[in-house]
Amino acid sequence: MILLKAAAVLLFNFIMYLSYGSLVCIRKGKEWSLPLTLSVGFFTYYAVFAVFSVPIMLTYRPLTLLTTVWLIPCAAVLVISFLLFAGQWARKFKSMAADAAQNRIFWIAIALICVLMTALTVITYSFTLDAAYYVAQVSTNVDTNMINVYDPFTGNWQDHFELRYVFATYYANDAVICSLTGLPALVQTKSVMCATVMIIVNILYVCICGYFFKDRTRALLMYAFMTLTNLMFISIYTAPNFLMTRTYEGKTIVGNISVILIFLLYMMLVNNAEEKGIFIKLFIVCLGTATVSSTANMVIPAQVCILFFPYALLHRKPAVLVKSLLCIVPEIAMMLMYVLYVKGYFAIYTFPR
Amino acid sequence: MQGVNVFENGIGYLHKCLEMYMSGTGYLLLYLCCVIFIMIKGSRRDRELFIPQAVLLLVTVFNPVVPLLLDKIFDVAGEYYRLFWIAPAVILVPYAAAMLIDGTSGRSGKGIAAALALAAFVLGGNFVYAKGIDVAQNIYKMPDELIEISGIIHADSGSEYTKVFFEYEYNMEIRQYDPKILLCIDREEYLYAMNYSYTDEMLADQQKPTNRILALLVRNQSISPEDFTDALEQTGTQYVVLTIGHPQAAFVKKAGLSEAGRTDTHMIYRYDPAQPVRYELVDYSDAVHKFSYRRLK
Repeated sequence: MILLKAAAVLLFNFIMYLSYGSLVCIRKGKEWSLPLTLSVGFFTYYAVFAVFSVPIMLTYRPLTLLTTVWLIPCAAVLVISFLLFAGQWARKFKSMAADAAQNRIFWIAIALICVLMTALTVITYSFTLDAAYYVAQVSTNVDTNMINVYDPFTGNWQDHFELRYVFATYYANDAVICSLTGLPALVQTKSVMCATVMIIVNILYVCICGYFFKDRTRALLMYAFMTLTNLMFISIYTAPNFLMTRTYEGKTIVGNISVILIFLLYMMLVNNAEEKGIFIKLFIVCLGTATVSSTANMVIPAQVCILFFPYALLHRKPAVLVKSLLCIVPEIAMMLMYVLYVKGYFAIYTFPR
Repeated sequence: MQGVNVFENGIGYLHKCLEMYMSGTGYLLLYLCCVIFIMIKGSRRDRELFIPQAVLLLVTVFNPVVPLLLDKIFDVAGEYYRLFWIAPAVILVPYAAAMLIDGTSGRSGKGIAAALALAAFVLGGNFVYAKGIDVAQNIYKMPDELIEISGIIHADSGSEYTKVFFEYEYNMEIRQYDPKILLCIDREEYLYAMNYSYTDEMLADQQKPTNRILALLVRNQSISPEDFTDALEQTGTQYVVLTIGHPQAAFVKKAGLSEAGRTDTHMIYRYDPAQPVRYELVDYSDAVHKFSYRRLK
């Protein structure tokens, strides 16, 4: 039963990402990319979730309230997206099926590698210290029916919210899903979300390979080398190591989805020299990443500056400079807030006083 | 990064950081080689994609002065390595490899290029499953024994929440599986105990009874049975779970703890507190749900 529920949540995740992403990425009469829609949808989902969860958390309302409230935007987005884009989705899946029939070996090889990588992260056991916080945070929230009020390490009540983690509401979403479905926190975090993250990473890889090589054999070769890199580029600090052994962590998403997706958006800018829509997507990715892990506050502004500033200078496009700066405002704001908190300027309490 | 800080290492911090980050893998070097390869062999688009970024990375993230400057504003020492993730090694190295194979003419030429690329990927890396694949024992991805211990404690205690002392790994894992078990030692305290001994002054500190528990059960420092039970009483700890054969097992029994159960490799000891302990969640039902913050400085 648990496994069935887990499979249903995995499917639900992708339906929600497609629904949220379609609202951002699909424009009437324009070509759209399924990998981009799904991955931008992932960050849209978490950005919108943060908007709902932070006020509920900071006014110490129960998790069950958040669960009920969160169903409203999800249902609305699902219905609106279905009404607006069902036809486009059907056409896209139909064309993908036709493409799969024509390039059977390519798609079978991609599917096999993706399933293998996903299975490896789902079935393996690994001991990490960080899980003592992140996974226990989900189980504690579900057990106490509160959001981040109790210390995940010990279970003790906290006097104030730990600001380093409080805006990373990615784990609060896991708790909401557990509360909604009855799925154990460990299954949700270490299996369902691991599979979700690994599938998105692989979808992005296939998309990137497609950008570099139109020829399928060459694209498959590059994809195989990317997989090999993830299996071999291993020390306890590398992004591939996080992907393979700590897939449930927000940091993994920053290092393996956000960084890759931002690079993909940059590629689209370079390829088409077409800015329209790219910076809206970039803003959503930056905002969504800030709600996934506080690591984003350091990595994402640096990456956006390193990619987009030279482009703006070389192409003499000051608008690109301004737009990319606006995209990293969420991270900069969070970083400043955190600095003020650690320097002891303010604290947000878990009880009115 | 554990044990490397900007203050001690100064300009050498980045070098140490990179050494630990790479840990014998050559992928950042391969990335550098691929940047040069793209400069020579890449198309205009390829150069625009990878070169400005690589130059800016060298000037900023991989510049030994930058961590020193950043450290003046933020405490970046532990997390600076995450900036290395920006270097698109996972994209550029495979792309260059595919380009190299594709650009070589003839079947045997392609075979040699493929073999060389494969050798660079394999020899330049550390295989993630070099020590074998550790398949989880159950769907929770927790040791079966930990689940068994949780069941024994709940059956024995009869109360919803119980405070327990576990050894290192189980201390970090138990609350992921069972949040109704509270821990008397948090993560940082445990990590401290694994690295440092406790002074007499620390052991006498009545505000930190956990020091005595850790000194005895982690550091094997000697304390009196009364000091130990007093620390259990003060922290409200009702169970102590130790590996069978733990050097302090006899001491724990002598201090008055009784055996509540055992598994294949662990013993569960119960402490009966003089003052009954009852844990309850904080009652928010009458709370005014308003945002509450305070300026501290």
